[in-house]
Amino acid sequence: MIFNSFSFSIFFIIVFFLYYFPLKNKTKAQNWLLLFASYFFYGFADWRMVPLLLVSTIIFYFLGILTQNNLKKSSFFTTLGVLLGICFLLYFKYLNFFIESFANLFNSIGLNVNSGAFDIIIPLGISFFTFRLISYLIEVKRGQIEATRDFVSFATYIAFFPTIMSGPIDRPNSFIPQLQTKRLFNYNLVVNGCRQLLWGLLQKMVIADNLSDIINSIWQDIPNQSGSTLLIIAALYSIQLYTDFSGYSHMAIGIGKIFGLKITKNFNMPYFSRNIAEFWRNWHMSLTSWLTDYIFIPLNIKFRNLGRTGIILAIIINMVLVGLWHGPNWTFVVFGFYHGLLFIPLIISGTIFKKKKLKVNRYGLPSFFDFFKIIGTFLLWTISLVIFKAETVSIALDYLSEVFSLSTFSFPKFTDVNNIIKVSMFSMVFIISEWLTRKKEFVTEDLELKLNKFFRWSLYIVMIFIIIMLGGNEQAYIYFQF
Amino acid sequence: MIRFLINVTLFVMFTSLLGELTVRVFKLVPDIPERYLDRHKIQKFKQGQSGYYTRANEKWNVNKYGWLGLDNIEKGSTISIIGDSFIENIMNPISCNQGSILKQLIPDYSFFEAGRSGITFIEAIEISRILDDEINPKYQLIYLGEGDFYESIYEKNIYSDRLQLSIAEQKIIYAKIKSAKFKKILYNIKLLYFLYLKYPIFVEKQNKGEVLESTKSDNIDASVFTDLLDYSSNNYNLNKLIFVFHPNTDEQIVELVDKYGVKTLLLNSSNDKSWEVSKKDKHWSCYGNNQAGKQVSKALKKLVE
Repeated sequence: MIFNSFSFSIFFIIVFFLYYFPLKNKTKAQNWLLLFASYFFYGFADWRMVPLLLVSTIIFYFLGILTQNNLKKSSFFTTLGVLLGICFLLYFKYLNFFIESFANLFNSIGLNVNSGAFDIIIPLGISFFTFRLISYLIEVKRGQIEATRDFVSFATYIAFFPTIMSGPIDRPNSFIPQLQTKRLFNYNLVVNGCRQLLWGLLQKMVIADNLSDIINSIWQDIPNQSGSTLLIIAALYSIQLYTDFSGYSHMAIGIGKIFGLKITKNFNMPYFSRNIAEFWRNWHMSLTSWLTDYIFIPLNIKFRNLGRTGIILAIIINMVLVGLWHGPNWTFVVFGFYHGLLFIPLIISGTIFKKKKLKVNRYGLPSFFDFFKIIGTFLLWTISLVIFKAETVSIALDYLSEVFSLSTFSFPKFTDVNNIIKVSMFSMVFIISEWLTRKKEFVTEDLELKLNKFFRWSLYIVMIFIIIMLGGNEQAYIYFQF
Repeated sequence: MIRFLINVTLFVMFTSLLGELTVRVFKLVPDIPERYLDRHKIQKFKQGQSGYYTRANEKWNVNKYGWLGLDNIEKGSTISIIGDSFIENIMNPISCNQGSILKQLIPDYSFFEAGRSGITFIEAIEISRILDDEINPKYQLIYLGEGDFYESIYEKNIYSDRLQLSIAEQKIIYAKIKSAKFKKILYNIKLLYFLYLKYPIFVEKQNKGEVLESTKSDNIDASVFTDLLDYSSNNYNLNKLIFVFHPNTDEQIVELVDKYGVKTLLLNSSNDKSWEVSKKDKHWSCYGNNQAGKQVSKALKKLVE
């Protein structure tokens, strides 16, 4: 049941009416409804995954209480919880990867090892809800939140249906308190949520889904493509991944707002970043801030005696984990390592933590120097996405070797030229819209301040028509697989 | 809350009206003719209907016999053309119908078309029997794909809206008009139909027939063909029939049919540009129909001579 489906529309309307009519003013009952809806939503994808979610939620709920109540043993309970979370991830997501990698390693040194893979179902969204569980326990241990005694709120925080499959990864201190306060119908917030939902749908269905077919068809036939074609496709994949994931995040945040809940922002116009550090502060923000707080900062403190080398080490470990978080594949390890390397010049020059505001000239354009840096960062990111998308490292290398060959100076060839022009136009319009509204959370935010009702409605209608008439074939969300 | 609901209701109403208007003005969905069951329990179109296919300039019209194609009958020189949606050919102008093309290539004969999407092999044979009684054609061309055979057998897959043969009972199972009221609403509210086509809820069901029709199986189930052909040769007169097989039909099937003494023609689209309307629509375009027509006319001329 994905957001842009008929079944979700029905589900959503039912939950909305129950939430605001019979359960109006009944916070606990609203939470029960959200919890039930979340488990239904999660079970709808595959009911076999529900027990794991429920059992892990119960365990972490009690671990939270034990951590708070037993000051002497709080470190033990936290460590136990963190290890348990890591074990969930290792078993469900990475076990076969490690077995296979070790077997390959042994085979390469002449020891014949047979790698039998386990038949394991990877629960959808496991990386997202496990990070939420771990985050909760660490925050309790650090004293930043009190362990909740309200199991329904806690379970709703873990399983909240708009975010369970692909985030954003909310922090407990911002989300659980919202569930414990009264939520009345807030017209402005709901309308804002609807707008954000619509913007997310447009991104996903019109841009990402239309790009998907073209990109996949080229990726299936890499050896017969010129470097120029592959370069264009790589750049378009950057747009696809962004619109697919940020589209999903906007929808999730929009749905959250409709239920009176504020969800963490996940993107902040990342494609206007001027270096890779700035990029990672703006891309998948809920994951990067999670890793910064729980991995990078502790590592940085541990390595502080090593000076810059310590920071480099901490960054590289952090970025490899960012890569590996996406899935059990060496491509993700290389992706993370590559990004870690990109940080080194920034660490050496001392600009890694510097935050400079992007200034524009009187025409609303960035300076030439900033523009050059934006394009450079985008290209570095685009190259990394080739590794990210490829099934194996060698496929990525084949792809990139063609991009860095003389054929990149040839004229690109596409079988469906009209389609490529169409999707490129969509992408351009999208990027320009993002640039013009870069200080906002999303392009259509605060419309009531600028447009009267007639123009607002006209704009919504145009957006809906574009989605319906020009939307591509329905595609699964890329981040669902992570 | 009330304000929000009023606004949403008004917005949905206004957007729907505008959407309906847009879909109608730009003909974004095809007009679909309404069907009924005739006295032979064959599904036909209600006479007098007309409409446009998606973005078409030319109207389709249901003739007085309840079919969409040509209805020229001349005593002793009529050739009937029976088939599924490829013969119904609602997606192309009538000048691209097999009947029109064959008339140009063989002017001495008149052509009568009986085409409707979903016609199975056994229904085509049944229609040929009825047409034999009613218009007594000299030859009857039946256009077939592999899927038409498989869809004919009740025991293989039940399609309650298609005429099928129960092999176990050796009995024809007549089709029913399924969800007539729902379809009437769906086809008349164009925006709803547009959304239904764009975001199909029952994708598998919708496309099943087309998939069977367009895919070539690696291993044919010979019993399907022998069962059907045994039944047909025992219960129908196959002398006037010419089976025209779609390109890429397995040659084993054609050889099998030959053994029953039925005249056959296997169309060939290899070494040619695509016959299809588009990547998504596997039906023949005008070009495809012309190419098919040329091959059929050659074979027919030999037969006539």
